[in-house]
Amino acid sequence: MTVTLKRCQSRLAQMRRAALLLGCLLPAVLPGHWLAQAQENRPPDYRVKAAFIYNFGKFVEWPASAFASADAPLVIGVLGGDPFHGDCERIVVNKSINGHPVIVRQISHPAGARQPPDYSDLKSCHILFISASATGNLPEILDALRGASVLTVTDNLDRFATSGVIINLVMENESVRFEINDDAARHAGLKISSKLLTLRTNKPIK
Amino acid sequence: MVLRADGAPENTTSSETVATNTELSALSSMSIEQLMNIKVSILGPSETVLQTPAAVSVVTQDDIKRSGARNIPEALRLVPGLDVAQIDSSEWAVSARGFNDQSANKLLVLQDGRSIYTPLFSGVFWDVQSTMMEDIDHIEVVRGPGATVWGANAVNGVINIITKRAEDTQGWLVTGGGGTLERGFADARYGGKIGDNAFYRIYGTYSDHAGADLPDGTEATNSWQMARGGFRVDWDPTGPNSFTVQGDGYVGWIRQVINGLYSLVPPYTESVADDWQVHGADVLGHWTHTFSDTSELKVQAYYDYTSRKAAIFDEERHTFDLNAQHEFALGGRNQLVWGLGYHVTTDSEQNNPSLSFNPDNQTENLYSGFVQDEIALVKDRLSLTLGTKLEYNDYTGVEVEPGGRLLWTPWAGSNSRGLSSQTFWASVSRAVRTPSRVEESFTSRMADSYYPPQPEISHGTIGAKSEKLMAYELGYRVQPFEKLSLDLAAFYNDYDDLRSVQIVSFPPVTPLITVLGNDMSGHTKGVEISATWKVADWWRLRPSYTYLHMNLYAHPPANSSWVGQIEGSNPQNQFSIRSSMDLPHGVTFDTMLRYVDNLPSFQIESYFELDARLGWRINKHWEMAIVGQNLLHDRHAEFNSTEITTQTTEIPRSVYGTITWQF
Repeated sequence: MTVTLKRCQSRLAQMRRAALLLGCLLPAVLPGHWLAQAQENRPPDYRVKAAFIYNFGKFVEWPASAFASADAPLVIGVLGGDPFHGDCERIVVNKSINGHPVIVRQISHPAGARQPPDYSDLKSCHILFISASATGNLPEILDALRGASVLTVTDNLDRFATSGVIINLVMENESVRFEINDDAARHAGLKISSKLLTLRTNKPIK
Repeated sequence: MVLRADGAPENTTSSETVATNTELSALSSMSIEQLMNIKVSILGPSETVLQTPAAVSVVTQDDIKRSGARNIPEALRLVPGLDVAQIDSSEWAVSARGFNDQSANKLLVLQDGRSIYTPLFSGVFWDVQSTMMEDIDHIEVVRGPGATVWGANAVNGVINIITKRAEDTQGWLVTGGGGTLERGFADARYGGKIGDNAFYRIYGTYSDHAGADLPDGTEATNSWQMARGGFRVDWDPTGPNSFTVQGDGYVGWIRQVINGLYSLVPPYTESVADDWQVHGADVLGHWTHTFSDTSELKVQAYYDYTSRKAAIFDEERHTFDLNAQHEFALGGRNQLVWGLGYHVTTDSEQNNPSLSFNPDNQTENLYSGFVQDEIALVKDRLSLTLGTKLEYNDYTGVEVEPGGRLLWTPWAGSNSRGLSSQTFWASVSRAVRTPSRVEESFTSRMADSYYPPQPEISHGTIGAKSEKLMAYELGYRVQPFEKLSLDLAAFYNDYDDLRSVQIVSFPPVTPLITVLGNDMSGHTKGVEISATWKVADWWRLRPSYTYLHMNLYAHPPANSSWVGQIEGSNPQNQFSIRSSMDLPHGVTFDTMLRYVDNLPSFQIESYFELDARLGWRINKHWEMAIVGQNLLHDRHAEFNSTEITTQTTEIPRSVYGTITWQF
């Protein structure tokens, strides 16, 4: 009697173990569309960030020499991967700022390259978004931009205040905010409107 | 470098474009103020957490603030899988995966890389960890062994408290408040800039705590006060180097009543009302040198002084620690980290008839090295982390703590941040807990209530062995829908040479004499499940469930009643649910309901408890909040002191209000 009971119990335990194991493994074989992201009523953070980058263009005054002509395009460069999944391009469709049509350029940045890539083309951008995958080479990138009027933008950069980047996007209470380095903007010959300066989250960096 | 022509990138399907077009055109015509007001969806763990092959949780500053936690143990209640029990007003028992105790000794606890558990018994004096809560950036908690990198003592988990960088705490912040248990507190901080590349902050805090309750509802004798101050400087000159220097000092007064002391006169037992005085100071320097974007060296040194003076325990301790760590990429597939460390601690104990140490002064050295390689077996899909720690300590000599961890990110979709939405991990690792000071050298003489007038005498044991663990873990994280993320971890821990107690001689002929040994083994197993569910844009729910089963065995000559005592000090089931609501006009409302299973060792029944916080951010500069803790009962017991017999205390319902000014 006890033997049978024990056997039953161990059989039950076995079944429980099997069920547990199955439960653990099951999600791996779920169809992909279950896992595909659901349509949401809140935009994802990167989409709002793309709109921010375009908006920054309205609050910055470039020296006249930054544009070849009065209707030359204003170029937004996205360096190193595209965290926006093409939304930067979509945001700027048919947009122009002060008569300059806005265009987006994707600039690839080989990750973990031993030789620093050639950054000489970066100066052709007016706004340069440096994505996280490229911030490892930040000193070289900023070096290449020295003397050029390029508004550099990063996302959630560590030690922004001392990095030399002009604008850093940050998250605060689930909203996108930004920090500005006045000093870096001045060095780049960019004039940032006082309106943008009052909306930033950090204290002036002088 | 390749400049690609402007226009839409590849791999964008037209249907996706249509689906998002309306929203995109709305976004593109919004003003910057409108954009700043949009709440975006970020849910679930950060990329770093998702890609960690261990049971890891992060408590953020926002979590801490919204929980109303006024000290670190309360903040640790937010971590799924931890067992946090308050013993009295100033004492807590904190552990992961079992073995909880007032002197729980299987967790490694660090603040900004400085070890804050005491080498005396490998546990934490939580009362003196009175860091300014607003300065904490986040708390990382790893459940399960972290010995491969962290070394001995990282047996059941690692808690790392990370404070903010000085540049993130600029300007003034002043907080004040008070209530029933938190009678009054004030925190002040100021941060500024030195030159072009350096930031600093200074802070000071003071808190006055009432005693908790005796079971009859009167106030127990364990009120306490803590004062603390400190600074931090972060210097980031242009170039490859960056530096941090920080320091703290504290002083505190804690009242306790110690029962069960042995007395030579009838009734052969006495209680003393004891005023503990605690003070300490620490200073830490940290240097990071970046060779290239794939190679970085970190060097850190600290000095830590603690003093604790009580009638039956009086200790001064000096600790110095130096360690270096170098991380670099090797080829395209290997990410290597290796490090070396030296730790020395020296103490001086004032012996008394109840508790004495032999010798009463001791210096302990610890030399360590580790190497770890993260190998990308299949790029972005499958990685293997192998490593080992090698240590030499004065008690047990050489200890080896190897481990292997596998992280698998199968195909699957990707969420808004382009991350794969599910990961599996598995690990096998070995960890040890090396003997602590008390285990070899203490003698205690307490009252024996069964056989007065004799005392009950306990001794440490010369030649104590390390406690050993082989841990097997499995984990799974998934974000099946944009609004839901899940984190599962299961473990099986196999322990050997656990600390045991044996009786060497019995009354009535001789006093009861017990000696510590290493004659206990056993296993624990458990499951930890947590989830984040975004019910609505303004409402988040975070449930978690923890199951723990402990099976320990005492081997002769160890006393087997000790086994039940340990097993019965840990809840088998724990459940909690946190609700966070963002209401209009800057109002937030947070509640946390928790269930803790019964603790047979202390005859504590299972209970539910509820904490709540109502916060109002009035404007950029002012914020106020009202916090209620343990709201469901007038008072309830959560644990009992085991090592030193302080009063049996229950935790009362409490309320406090606070106001914060920032400029």
